[in-house]
Amino acid sequence: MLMKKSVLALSLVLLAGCGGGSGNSEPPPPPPLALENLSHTTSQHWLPVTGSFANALSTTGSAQLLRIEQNGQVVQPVQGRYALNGALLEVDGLNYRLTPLSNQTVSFRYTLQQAGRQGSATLQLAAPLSDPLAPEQWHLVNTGQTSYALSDSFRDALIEMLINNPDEPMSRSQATSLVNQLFSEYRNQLRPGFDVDLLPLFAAGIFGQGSVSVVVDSGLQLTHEDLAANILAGRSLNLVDGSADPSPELDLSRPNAGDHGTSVAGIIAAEGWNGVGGRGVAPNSLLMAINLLADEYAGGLDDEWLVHGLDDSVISEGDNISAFNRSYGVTLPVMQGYSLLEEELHRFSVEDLRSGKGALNVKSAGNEFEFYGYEGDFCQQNGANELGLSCYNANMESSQQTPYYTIVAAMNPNGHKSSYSSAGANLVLTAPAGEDGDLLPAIVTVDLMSCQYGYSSEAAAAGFDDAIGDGAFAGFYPFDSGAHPDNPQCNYTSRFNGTSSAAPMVSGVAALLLEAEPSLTARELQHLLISTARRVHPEDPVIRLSLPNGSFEAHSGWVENAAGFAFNNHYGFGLVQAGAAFQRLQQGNWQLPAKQYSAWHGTALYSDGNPANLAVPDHSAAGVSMALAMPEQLVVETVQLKLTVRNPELLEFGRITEQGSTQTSAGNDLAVVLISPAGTRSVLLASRQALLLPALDEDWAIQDGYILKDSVFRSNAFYGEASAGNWTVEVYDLAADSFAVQDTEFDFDWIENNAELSRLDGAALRIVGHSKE
Amino acid sequence: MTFAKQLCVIVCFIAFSATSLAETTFGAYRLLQPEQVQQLSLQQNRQSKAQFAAASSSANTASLQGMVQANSLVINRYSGKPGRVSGQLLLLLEDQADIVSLLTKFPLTVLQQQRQLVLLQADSHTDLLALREQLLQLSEVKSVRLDVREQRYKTR
Repeated sequence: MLMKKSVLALSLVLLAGCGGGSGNSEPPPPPPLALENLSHTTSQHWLPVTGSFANALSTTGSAQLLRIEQNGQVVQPVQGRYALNGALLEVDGLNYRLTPLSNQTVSFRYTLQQAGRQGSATLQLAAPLSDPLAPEQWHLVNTGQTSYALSDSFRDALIEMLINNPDEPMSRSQATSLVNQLFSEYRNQLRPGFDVDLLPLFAAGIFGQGSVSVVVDSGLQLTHEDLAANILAGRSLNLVDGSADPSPELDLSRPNAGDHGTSVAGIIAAEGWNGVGGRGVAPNSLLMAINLLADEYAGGLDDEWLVHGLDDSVISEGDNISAFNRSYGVTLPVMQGYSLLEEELHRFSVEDLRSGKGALNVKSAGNEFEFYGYEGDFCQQNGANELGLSCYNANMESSQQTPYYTIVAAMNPNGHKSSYSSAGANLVLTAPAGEDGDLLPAIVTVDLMSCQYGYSSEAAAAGFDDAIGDGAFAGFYPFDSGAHPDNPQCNYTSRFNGTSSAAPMVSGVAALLLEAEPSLTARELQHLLISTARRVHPEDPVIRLSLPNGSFEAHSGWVENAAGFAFNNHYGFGLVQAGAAFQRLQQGNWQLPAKQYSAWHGTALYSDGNPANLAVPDHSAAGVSMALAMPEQLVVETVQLKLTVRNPELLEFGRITEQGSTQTSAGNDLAVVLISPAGTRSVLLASRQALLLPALDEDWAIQDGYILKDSVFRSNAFYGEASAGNWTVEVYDLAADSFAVQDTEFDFDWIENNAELSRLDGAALRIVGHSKE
Repeated sequence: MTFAKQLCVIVCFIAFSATSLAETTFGAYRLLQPEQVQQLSLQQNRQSKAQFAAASSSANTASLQGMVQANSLVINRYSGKPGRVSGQLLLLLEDQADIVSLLTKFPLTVLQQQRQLVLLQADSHTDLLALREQLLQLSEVKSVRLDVREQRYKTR
């Protein structure tokens, strides 16, 4: 290869000489420019080294870079950036910045020209100090890597399964062709660039130093080889035994279960550049853990108090908490009741901690876009799955209705939502999480140490093999099988996913940005993330429901509001972008005026106490509407809508009919839309969502006869708009279907279209925002 | 039907259909009667049995007479999981409310207070549902929740 390049260079020099000739008196071509080879013997993966090509010249004087070649190919720059195999080269004059993107040695040739003479030499970057798994962590730097999905062993396993399918066996060539086609389709979904945009912060030397993330989860294995260095010593809490060690109990009777909290913690703050495992989003930040979700623990209100930072014996107001990571939730097929107590607990975290600057409450949105379990096959039978509507709405969970949680959706490596990620108008951000790690990548993160326990364990393999067939686990998930050279001790997994994975990405980014600017309030931090989020999946389609008298837009895709913020019920404001937020931070002007709350302004039930009793037409695009006057002028950060809609047929136990245990369709059919004075439309409830039971009140007592009762929806779609003026709430009944259902936990057999019309009794609005300055 | 679902159906049946018994409910919870406690303990899976055993060990007999008090055993009607009433209450006070004067009227001890939130412990043998109603009647009190220790959340 080197020989060829020399010949090519010589030919170019000769051609250049011949082309310029006009006679026998032409002087001989100048001798080649003598250049030194350059090298960098130490570097760190993803961290740039700098230098100057001028150091290769033996004489001073102006020179210029003519070209860069790698492996015999000329690499064309784009705005001064050369995308090399294994590194990124940025050039300004003769100065360069070289960022290693692989764990391997990288070399390339450069050609300079000085005083009419040209010469070439080699620049070599030795293998950087790294973490062996970091190049497969697509969520950090997405290069289109497979992250151990789409493996050869998986391909082979699928082919064998098709060949040995007893119902419809295939020939080897048929099976191979089919699987290759499948792999090709999925490989096309690996799109470089859809990641959390870390490198600008890393390049600036920001790794989360000093920031503390509190992982409220199942536990945290404090001694894990890739976490131990980042544990805030003595500050975690085991709620089961009262100790400061929330490491999970290793239960030999359940060895195939990973420790969820340990894997979440790894996404935030796995140690960087230590030669083992992968890397956290904020690899120098610190971790505290509270094992609220430990299998053997039953939590209470004192724990809620504690995990929101109100117990100053555990978390003091001066602790530099950047975020509480909450990769958990409560899913029920019902609108959960809004709780003022919850609101106040949440508020404390984001307003009082960190000496009044606050910590983010980062919350996973939910994994119930397609199904959960309580509802059986309800979301298949009602058409939600086929239409592409979310089975559960992220606004159904009470904790996600308050203004104080930063709710995070999940995304695949192609920038599209993960199949399971719940939708709602209350989402704030999206972050990588992926799918299952077989056809599409999941997240590579830490797992319990040893091959005896965890997601990557012999027991996990045995359980999978029992269900699918001998050797299936090793075929599908080779990295987790114990036999993979990159994971020989089974201390890591490539199968972690869910919105549980997405939330800690944002927690990690929060840790980075608070190192960059410690004076940021939690609210300003969220504002930075919102205003720099990336609009992924721009072609996300509108979903329109056809009705006898028109149509209804049940999902609007991306909607740009009157303040210029684009919002999407699948993505919130979009993919979190650490680098873009950092850049905005450096530009200044990120401070927000003090937070203000409007009063609740309502009508009918919420004004004079009298229910409006507006009948909602069945199966109609007409719906009913109410005007809501908002006299207070604020710049909107979030909006809460309270409303009551009743239908006497919606009862906890339904009723018995010829079809068996029957529930009304009134909850299923309901859609709610809020429209701002500027005309921005936000779908709060799309219909076909799993409202199988009557609404719950604040204490979660069921409210027979009510689909929504004092229920509160949060919408972020109006961010930045002016609040004053007339808002409109629209309520629809969008279906007339009756259908059988199976396997609901509440034993319903049949959903019957409501004979009674649903009725809207009142609505009220509250704005959280700031004054217009 | 999976074992878990069978279990839920059984539990839900116990929780929902014992109409002949004098039922005590609050929020998501139903107070368990002695025979329900026994039946449930036989039908729980291994993990829930362990939780249930722990909860039962500190249960007192007063809860079995229909009054909710500290250590009463309950079942969450949605998750089907058992819980134990701790005797703690969480209060949200109106702005400027004086907790000290409030406490002199009730058998309560302040555990912690932040902003307008107060975490309280009721004296043992207090009828907690009655106490809750009394507290809600006060103009200083916006909201009250009785504490039930249970596994409420799931990982995502």
